[in-house]
Amino acid sequence: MPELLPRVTLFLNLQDNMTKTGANICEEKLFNELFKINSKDLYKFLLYKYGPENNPADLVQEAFIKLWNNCHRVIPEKARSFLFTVANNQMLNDLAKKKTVIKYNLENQTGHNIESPEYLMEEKQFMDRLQRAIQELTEEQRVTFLLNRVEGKKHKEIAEMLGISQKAVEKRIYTALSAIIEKVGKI
Amino acid sequence: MEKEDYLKKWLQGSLNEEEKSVFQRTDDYRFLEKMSDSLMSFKAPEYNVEAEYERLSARRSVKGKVITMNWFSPLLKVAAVLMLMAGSYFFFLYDAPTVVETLAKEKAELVLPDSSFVALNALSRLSFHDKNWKKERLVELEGEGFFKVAKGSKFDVVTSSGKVSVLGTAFNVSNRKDYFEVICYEGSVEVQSANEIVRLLPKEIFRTISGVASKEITATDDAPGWRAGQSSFQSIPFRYVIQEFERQYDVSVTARNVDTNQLFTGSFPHSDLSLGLKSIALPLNLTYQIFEDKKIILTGDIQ
Repeated sequence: MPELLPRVTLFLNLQDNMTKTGANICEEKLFNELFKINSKDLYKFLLYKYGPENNPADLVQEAFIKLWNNCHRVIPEKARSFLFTVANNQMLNDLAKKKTVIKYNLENQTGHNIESPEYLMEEKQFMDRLQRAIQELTEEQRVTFLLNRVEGKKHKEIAEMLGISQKAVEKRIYTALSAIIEKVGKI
Repeated sequence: MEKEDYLKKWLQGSLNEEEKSVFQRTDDYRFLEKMSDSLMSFKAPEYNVEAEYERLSARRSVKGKVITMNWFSPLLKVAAVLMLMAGSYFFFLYDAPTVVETLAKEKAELVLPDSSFVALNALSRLSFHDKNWKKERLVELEGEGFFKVAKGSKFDVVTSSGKVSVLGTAFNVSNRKDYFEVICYEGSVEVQSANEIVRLLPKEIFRTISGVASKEITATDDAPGWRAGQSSFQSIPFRYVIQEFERQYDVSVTARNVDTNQLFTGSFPHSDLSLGLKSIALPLNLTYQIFEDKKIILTGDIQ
């Protein structure tokens, strides 16, 4: 149950922060800064975890609205974990959650210009198998794996985002990779 | 080294040269390289931070207004309660006085809640409280009024010059500038002016002229002259006669070479200006001129 942990710690942090004073998220400038720093990562986190069908951009908006409404109670240092926890919980609470569909987009691929029909065929089959394998990963495995392999996020960063240990991140990535190798198999 | 270790080290990018050259010859390595390439096709679409922040700001400003209302609403509640209290006060408790006023040349008659009768002479004002009437029969008077009071408890007429209290009677009160006069026609009247309390019986007059009080007997009718359309005077300084004349005809009278303190006994009618003028001018041997804009000049023979 690693997801429960950040929620508990967040709650405790909120309790502490009630009495603290200092920089205030309610200030437009700081809030804007926090948005610049966190919105993109939060968006990718939600996208890789739940897929584009579940409106990650809107969930980012909701999370920041929640942060704004609680701006007096969250200190800036805890804003990032607040945002990720809120966004993740929103998704969990959303009963109408759609099946995660992560799709590849060949426009992003580089380097292949003129290919033989057979090669293109093989390529397409490979991509389809890879896509299915990624979709069949658990949410936790997928978000960890893609943040690392596609976005190039470091283990430490991912651990902070998810509120888990670096060891757990490493383990998830390895498990995800094993599953993909097993399903997509040899070339 | 096991395959698992190679994979872990590849993930961490911590293979050394020797390990790399071994691993590069395996199918696994070629798969990983191909997969890494292919994974780029799964890259998330670009996220436009600026545009998303603008979208957020638009939504946040709506929320901001809600917060403002949260601060504002306790005040609104207080205001609503105050309005309600003020509203019920005015509706249930506040007793706006009933006011009757007359202009120059004008007279009015009214019946009070207990069917007492009041007649108002020109340029007068009477006010009383309807709701309080049963507890206290009290009217406020400016100017001149004739009262015929129904029998019952005490009836008070409050004026700026004194209070007139009666128990079922008919009387006239005239409260003009520097001039206060009460004439009793029936029953008895108690007059409280600044300095004294005087009890009047029928046909008795109480007067205060410029602070000098006097009590006289008059051979008057059972109602003041103005009720029958004329003003009657008995030993009254002439300036008060002029003032009454101005009120009755809505004119302005200027007296030249006239001793306005000399006493006047007589009367003038309210219906005919030139007849009225003659009535006050001839006894004092004055001449008069009438101008178009309601101006009248009385000229005497004092040098």
